[in-house]
Amino acid sequence: MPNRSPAKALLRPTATLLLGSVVLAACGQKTPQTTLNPASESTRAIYNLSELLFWLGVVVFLIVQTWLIVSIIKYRQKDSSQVPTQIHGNTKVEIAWTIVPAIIAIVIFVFTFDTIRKIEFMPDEAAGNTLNVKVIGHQWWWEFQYPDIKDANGKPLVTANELWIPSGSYIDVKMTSVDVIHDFWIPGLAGKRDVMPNRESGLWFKADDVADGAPGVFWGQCAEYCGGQHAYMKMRVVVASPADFQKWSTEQSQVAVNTTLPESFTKNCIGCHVVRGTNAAGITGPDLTHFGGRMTIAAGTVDNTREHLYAWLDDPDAVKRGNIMTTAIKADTLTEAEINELVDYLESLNPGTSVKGQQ
Amino acid sequence: MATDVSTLHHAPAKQRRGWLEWITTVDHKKIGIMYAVTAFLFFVIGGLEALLIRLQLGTPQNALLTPEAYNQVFTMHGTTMVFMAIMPINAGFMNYFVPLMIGAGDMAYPRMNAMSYWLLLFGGIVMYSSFVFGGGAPDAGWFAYAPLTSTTYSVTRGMDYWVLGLQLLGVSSLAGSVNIIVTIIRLRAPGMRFNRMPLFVWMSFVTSFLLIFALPSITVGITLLFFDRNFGTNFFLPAAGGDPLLWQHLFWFFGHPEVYIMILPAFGVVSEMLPVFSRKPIFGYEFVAYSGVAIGVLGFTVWAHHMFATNLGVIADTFFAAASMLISVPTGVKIFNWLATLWRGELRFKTPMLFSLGFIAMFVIGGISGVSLAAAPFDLQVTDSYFVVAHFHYVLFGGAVFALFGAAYYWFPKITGKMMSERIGKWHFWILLLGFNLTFFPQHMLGLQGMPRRVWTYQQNQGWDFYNLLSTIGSFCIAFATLVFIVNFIISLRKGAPAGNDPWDAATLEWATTSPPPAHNFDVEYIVHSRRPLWDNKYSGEGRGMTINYDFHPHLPPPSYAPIIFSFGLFVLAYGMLNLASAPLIGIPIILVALAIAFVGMNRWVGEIAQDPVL
Repeated sequence: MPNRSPAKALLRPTATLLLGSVVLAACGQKTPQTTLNPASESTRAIYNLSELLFWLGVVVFLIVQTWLIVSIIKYRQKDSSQVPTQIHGNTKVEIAWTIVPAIIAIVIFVFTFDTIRKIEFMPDEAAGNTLNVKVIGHQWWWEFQYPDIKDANGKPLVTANELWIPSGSYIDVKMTSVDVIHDFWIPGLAGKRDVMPNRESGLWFKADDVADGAPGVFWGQCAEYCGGQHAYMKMRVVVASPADFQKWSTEQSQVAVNTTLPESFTKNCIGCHVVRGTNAAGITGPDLTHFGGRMTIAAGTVDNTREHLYAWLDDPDAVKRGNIMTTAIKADTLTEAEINELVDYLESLNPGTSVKGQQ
Repeated sequence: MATDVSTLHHAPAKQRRGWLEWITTVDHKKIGIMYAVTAFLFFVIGGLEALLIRLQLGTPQNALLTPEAYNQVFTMHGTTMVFMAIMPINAGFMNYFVPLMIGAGDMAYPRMNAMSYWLLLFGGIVMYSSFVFGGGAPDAGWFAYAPLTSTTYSVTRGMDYWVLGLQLLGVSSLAGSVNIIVTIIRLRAPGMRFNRMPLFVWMSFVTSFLLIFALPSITVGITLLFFDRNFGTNFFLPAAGGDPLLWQHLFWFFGHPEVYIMILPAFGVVSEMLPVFSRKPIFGYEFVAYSGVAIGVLGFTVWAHHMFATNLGVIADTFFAAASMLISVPTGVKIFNWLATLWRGELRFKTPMLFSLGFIAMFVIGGISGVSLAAAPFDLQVTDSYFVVAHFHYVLFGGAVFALFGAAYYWFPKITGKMMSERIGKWHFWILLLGFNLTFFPQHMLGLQGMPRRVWTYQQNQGWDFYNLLSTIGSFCIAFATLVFIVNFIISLRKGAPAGNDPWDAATLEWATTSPPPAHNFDVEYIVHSRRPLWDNKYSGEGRGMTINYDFHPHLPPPSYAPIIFSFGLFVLAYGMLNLASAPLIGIPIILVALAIAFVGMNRWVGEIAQDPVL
């Protein structure tokens, strides 16, 4: 083997790999949870700030790396006996490169402060155009309450893992947790906010307008490590036009479209789940009143299809290991007939307005 | 100072041989070696954990690890790398080289120094024994947010082992810091003024103060956590009025200075290596030294930037954003001074130099992403995502680990008397540089694409497959590079070329003695006249950098069993504490035995002839 330097030997494979990665990434998959596609006023403000940070970063990066590479090329040792001029420093230069980063820091700070102001304070125009939402974190699923929208029993409307909001309205989110700290994050619509057990945190956002009949779906996920299934504490946010939202919320506030509970549901499910209009009133698990219209099962673990629902009821631990439903439903708890009965029933709970099956 | 010490001179005590020589040693050099070797073993263990993490995340919905196993592995990876790898490798280099660089014969408290080492080893063993005895390792992440750490949500004993292991490591670090500080204040050679000290010594000094001010905060935190988990208190439990956010403040008041505790010694070694391989003095010595002090001080005012997402409010967000951005100023000053040190030099690209240059190139990337994280609104998007994982690996791996590998190549000849292979060393560097960037650069993209950190898996439809695969491939390059280092280490140890006293044509006092140095470090006393005593003697004329006092009686503290016995007592005490609440009939006897062992150690300690250099 010729005695090549490691730098040269590694150059070609590295270049191939990097080029290949750019090509592959270019024709890569969709990233539904990206921060780079802002769709609200606040995420756009953050995105603008991050562009500034990015370009300033590029400038600093280029200055430092160029300086480094030029030094390496220009001052590589030519004569081992030579001792270069012994330069100990230069106060003027030191002052200059203390001031320059300070100026950059000040510029960043000014824009940061402006952005903090924009995303933290809800504008005055929000008054009268605000929808209140309460987020409650559970290990490992999301409960959403609408204090402004009452259900058939006069209580705030409750859903789980799928949050519908009207576009163009200010959404005032208050959050708390029933167990550990979670974090509410829908990258397209708002930055993160911790969901804590002993205090109420909050944020607001206003989603960009969408057309009637064309709701936008945003993916979100718990962002604070919260134990075993932190990875599968996901949610979908559906931004609907005000008219679509109105239709959805009217439907959702009704009792279930099918209030005849199958026997297996009464036997196994009512202790933990609510189906409005029936005697299923447990509050440990997600509200299932309109389950059939939701996009996913088990907080975004799998898409809501009959097959997935069958697998979930057959052995919840195999679908989402360690989730709380496994304390009640084991692999052999339900018979095939019971599971089929439950799947039929749950999938029938679809009042109509839904984005199920849509990504 | 020499006269002070010489009055304590005794006939050398009986030197023990073999392994007994190591467990009784109070020689700062042997202790430094033990620190470094132990830390490197933990680095390998933490690295294997990292490989498990990357294997699991290499493909979507992978079932290699269960969520429970994954959560233990990432918790132990972070805990190991921070507390048992980087911190003790730093401590090892400080131990070995601070006394040599200031012309001292040993550390100020040689037996306490040995105790610091044993507590590191025992603390690590306590932590890792949780896999065997605890029903599972710690699983709440390295910053262990309450109330996930409570017995309700962390059901194994893992977190109790974590607390007790950290307590031992904390005592180790505190004692080590006091030792370094006193050594630097009291044992400098004549003429070695503070403003003549090598910058590694400066950074060791600053780091030690950071430890002393930061560690009490986490000590309080983990003590309260232990009470919550074992004795029914509710400091962090919201159901009974406790406050999980209190934990976050206690943790990060320690945790952020901790970052500088890990990186400042790296700044120090790079500030040693760059001038030597540029054949110039460091540019702006005072600015490099004082910017390190400034970073240390400012480091205590920024902890809540880890907590922007907790809804601190506009005023706190603004303050902590501003303070965090301010740190970029002294950090920038350091980088510019390093670059200016290269300028108009005669650069020799030996392996330590390559690692120093790699350090600058990589650390800058971590610095840039760091400033962006200080911008609170941007932080709200990328905190707790893979962007942050990328950021702190650029700082702690691209920064600290690169510098420390450089330090290993730089000082190996002094420690062993043999050179490391340059050829293998260069392969090590280039493979590591490639693997490092391949592993961590794509993680910036993953974070921006919305991938949270600490997820045991992710779905196919998220669009994260490709960058994750790239990152996993990169992690195996890092593992391979580390293997190359180990091979180089073993080969060089066996048949490396003889190093001589001063193989790099260096400037500082550690190169003025033999390689390896004798037990008492120096046969003579150096009287220092400049910042680069050895260099100036070589290039400005004999006596310009330092002169020699031949009327010097080296002092050699005798070996002692006391430190290991005392530390072993604390080690046993940890297991007693573990059983105190759950099985007092086992716990209380163990505690009594442990206290007896510690007492025996302490009694020996106070009964031995006082021969520590500082009285």
